[in-house]
Amino acid sequence: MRETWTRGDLGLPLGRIKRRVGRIVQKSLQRPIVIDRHAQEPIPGAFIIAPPRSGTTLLRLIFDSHPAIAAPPETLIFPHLLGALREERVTRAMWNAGFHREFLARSLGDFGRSFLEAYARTKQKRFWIEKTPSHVEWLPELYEACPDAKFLLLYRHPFDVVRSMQERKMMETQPRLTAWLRDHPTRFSACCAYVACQQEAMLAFEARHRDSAHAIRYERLVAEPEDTLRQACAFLGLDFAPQMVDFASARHDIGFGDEKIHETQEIVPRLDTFAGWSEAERTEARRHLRPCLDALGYQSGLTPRAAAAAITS
Amino acid sequence: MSTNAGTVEPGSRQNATASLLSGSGDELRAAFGHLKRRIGRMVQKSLQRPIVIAPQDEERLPGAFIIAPFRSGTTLLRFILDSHPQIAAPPETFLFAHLLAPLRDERTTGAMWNVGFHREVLARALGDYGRGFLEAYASSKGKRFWIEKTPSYVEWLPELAEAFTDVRFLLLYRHPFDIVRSMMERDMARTQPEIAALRDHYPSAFATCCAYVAREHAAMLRFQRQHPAVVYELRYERLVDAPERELAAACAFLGVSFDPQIVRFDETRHDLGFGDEKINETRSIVARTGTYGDWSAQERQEAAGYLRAPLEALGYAV
Repeated sequence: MRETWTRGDLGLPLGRIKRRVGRIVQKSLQRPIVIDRHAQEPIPGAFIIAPPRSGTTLLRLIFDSHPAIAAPPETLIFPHLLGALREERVTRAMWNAGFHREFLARSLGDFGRSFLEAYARTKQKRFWIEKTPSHVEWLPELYEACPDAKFLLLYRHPFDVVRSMQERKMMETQPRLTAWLRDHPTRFSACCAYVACQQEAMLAFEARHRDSAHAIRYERLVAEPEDTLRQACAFLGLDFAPQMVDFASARHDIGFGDEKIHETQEIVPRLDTFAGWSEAERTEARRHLRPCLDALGYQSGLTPRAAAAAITS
Repeated sequence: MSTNAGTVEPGSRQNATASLLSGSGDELRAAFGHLKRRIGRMVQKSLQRPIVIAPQDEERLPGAFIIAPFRSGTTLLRFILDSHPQIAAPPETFLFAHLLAPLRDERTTGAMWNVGFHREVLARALGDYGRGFLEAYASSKGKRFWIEKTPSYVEWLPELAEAFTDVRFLLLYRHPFDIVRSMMERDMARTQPEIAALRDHYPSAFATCCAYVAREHAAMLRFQRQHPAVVYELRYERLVDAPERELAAACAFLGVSFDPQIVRFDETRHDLGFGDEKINETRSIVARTGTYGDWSAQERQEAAGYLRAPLEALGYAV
């Protein structure tokens, strides 16, 4: 037990408290830093958003055939950059260094866009379109980083999407998807849950950001390409170009996800691919996907072909 | 199989090959068309020219990274160097672990290559971009040299060297036992994500911390062997024992004049961040060496088992 207190004993904690308070004040007064380095005029652009196997490559090649649009193969780079926004430790650390979240997000977006803009410049085009299917998992951060970009949300009958993902064994082979297998009894079930989650995220995004989002239906795109593309172009602020429908005549750079489609010379509808599913499979798929089916008007009993007709009529 | 001339049933190579073998006129033509297109695309791809991103015109500010595992004295070193009139050392940013991730993911570098951005261009672009934050920070402080320390960057050394061809690396070593001791005190095998990720592979938190430090020091020693010209080795023990001498040599390496004032780091204001909880109460350099003095012989033996390689390479006694 201590019986006497000296000045030093009291001085130390007081000094400490003073410093601590001082630092809190200093921290709250710290001004955010802004980097301004716009070397070149930015080029506008849009993201194609969809789960894998929704027809994104077809849509990319169509847009890439437009004389004003450059749509490169998927870049995969944004999820890495946007990871910084999803990790709270980073956003807080950057805040401590003087970079506030809003600024960090815009800066990351500008940086990611700079690759797409450089690509468009080399192709002498004035609009870029980027499609990377995993972007669907990054919608909130992507919008935060690129609020000026437009978002083309591509929907396809979720059963067809699941069917195609199954065919390519994507749940087993894509590292970011294998995590879904942990929470579901079968690969089929995990795949249905994944597609449901992504399409629901797209629907929610569409509802929140009506001005930035435009929905495209795969079924309508393949049935009435010209009308569908005219509307999409109008949304992007560009004129429709007939070359788009004749996409096989133009040269396109080749990348991931293009293995099959670049052998294709014209739009080939792939509808009702799930016709061979058992009743049990349909029931299981419906269990996960009912909200998407309802919201998108793919009535449970209706085939995509019929649904397409219903949408277009 | 119905195929129109010029259109291959989009599906498979097998279709094309089968058509070649069975050989009806239309099918044969379609199969040839398919092969021609495929070869054409391969040629096109190999001729595709890389896209070059022009380097930013403005002059870049020089800088350095402090590299060390957690609990090595990096915050002390940051505060000291941040006290230098020419050097700005912000709190740890953690940013580069994300910015450099594309370089570690082969799919992404492959995808970017397809678009026209070769690995070197991508690496430089990522480095230049990340550096912009550190330069902006230095400029906002009216300084012209930046130093960044984030302990988790030990694991990103190869990518850092790729992204930055002109920065320097201050590798800070401390007796591994002291580091482990400090990590245990802070329960870092549970609280620090980088270390917690290893926990399942080792029998105890103690073993996890030992293995973590061994891995980090091994990475630093390897990097030092590979890039001797850009690396300067600092020792925590020398830094706290004879700060002026150690810091004068470090400043000479960085190409900034040594200012003895920097030893009195508490007289300068520093921005605060992670890892600064304890040190910002500290007013002077306090040597924390031999903190593992109370370890049992068994603990020492276990630690030495994990840490033999760095202990020997760095000449630390057990």
